[in-house]
Amino acid sequence: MKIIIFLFVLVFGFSGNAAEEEVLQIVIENHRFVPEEIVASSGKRIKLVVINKDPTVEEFESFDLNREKIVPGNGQIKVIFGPLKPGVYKFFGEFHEKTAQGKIIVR
Amino acid sequence: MLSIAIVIFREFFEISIIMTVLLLATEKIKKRQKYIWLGILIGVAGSLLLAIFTNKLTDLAGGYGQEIVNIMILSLAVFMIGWTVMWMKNESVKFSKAVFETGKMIEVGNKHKIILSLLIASAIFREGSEIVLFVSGALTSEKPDFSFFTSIFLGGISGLAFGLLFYLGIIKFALKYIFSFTSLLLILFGSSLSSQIAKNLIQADFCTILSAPLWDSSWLISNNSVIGQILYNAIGYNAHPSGLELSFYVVTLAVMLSLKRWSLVEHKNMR
Repeated sequence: MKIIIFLFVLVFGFSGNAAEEEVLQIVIENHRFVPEEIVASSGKRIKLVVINKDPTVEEFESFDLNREKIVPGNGQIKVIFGPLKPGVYKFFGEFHEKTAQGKIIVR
Repeated sequence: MLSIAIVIFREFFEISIIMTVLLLATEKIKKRQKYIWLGILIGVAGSLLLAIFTNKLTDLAGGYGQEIVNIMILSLAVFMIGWTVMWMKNESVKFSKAVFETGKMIEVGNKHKIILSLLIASAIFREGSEIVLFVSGALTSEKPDFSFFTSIFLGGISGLAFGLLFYLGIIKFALKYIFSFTSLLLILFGSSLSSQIAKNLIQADFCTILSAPLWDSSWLISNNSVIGQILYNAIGYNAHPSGLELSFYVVTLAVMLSLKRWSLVEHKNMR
C-alpha cells in the first residue's frame, strides 16, 4: 500500500501546477468570519489563508469544498482547493457553527 | 450551551460509527474485548497528545503539519486494515480446516489482536483530539460553570448512547444480512481512509493534479445529513470527490480485494 501511495505522489506530486493559483484571506473574529463572503475566480486553484484573531481554537470546515482543518487560537492556516466551477460554496466554523458562517462565490 | 452539547454529540457519534464498522468487521475474532479496550485507551491518550501539539504542528512543514500527521495516521491505518483483511481470511480458512480435521479450535494470535487495538486507536485519534481541542478552547472562552460541564457531559453521553444504539441495532437487525460481507465492509472502510489520504495530499498542496471535484451528488445525499455522515464515516461517501480521492479509493479497493482473494487461493493450494 505504501508503495502505491509513494508512486502516486511520485507521479502526481511533481507534475507541476496545472492551474493558476489565487490567494485569498479571511479572518475569524468573535467567532465570525470577516468578511463572510469572498469572491474567487473559477478554474483556478485557490489558497485560502484563515487567520484566527480569537484566542479560542476553531475548525474550518466545508462540506461543499470537502475540507476540514483545525485553526489554533491566535493562529493561522492555509487551505487549498479547486479549481472550482462557478457557484456558491459554503463553509463554517465547526466549533461555533451558529455564528461562524461564510461562503465563497466563484465566478 | 446547547451548541456545545451538539458539537460534542456529533464528534462522539462519528467515533461510534467508525467503532461500529471496526467491531462488526472483526466480529469473528474471539476474546477480543481486552484488545478493544486497549485500543480505546491508546486512542484517548493519543487524542490528548495530538491536541496538545496541534498548535505547534500547524506551523510545521510550511503550515501543513496537520495534513502530514493525518497522512501518517491514515497510511498506517490503511496498512493495518490490509493486514487484517489478509489474516482474517487465513484464520477463517485455517479455522474451518482445523475444526474439520482435528475438531480443535485455533486461537487467533495476539499479534493480530494488537493490530486491532492500533486500528481502533487510530480511528479515535483524530475525532478524539477535536473533542479535546474544542473543550479546552471552550474552557478558555466560556465561564466553566455548572451548565457548561452539564452540556459537555450530556453531549458526550447522548452521543455514546446514540452510537451504542446504532451498533446494537445493526447487530440485532442487520447482522444476519451483512455477516458474510463484514470483510467487504472493512475493505470499503480502508478505501475510504485511503481517499482521505488523497484529500490531505491535495489540501497540503503536495499534489496539484486531479484536484478538481468530479461531480456533485449533494442533491441526492449531502455529507451534511445524518445518512451522509454515517456513509462518509463508514464507507467514505463523498458528495464531491476529487479525481485523486476517487483514484485512491478505487486502487485501494482493488488491491485489498485481490489481497483477500490471493490469501484464500494460497491456502487452498496448501491443502
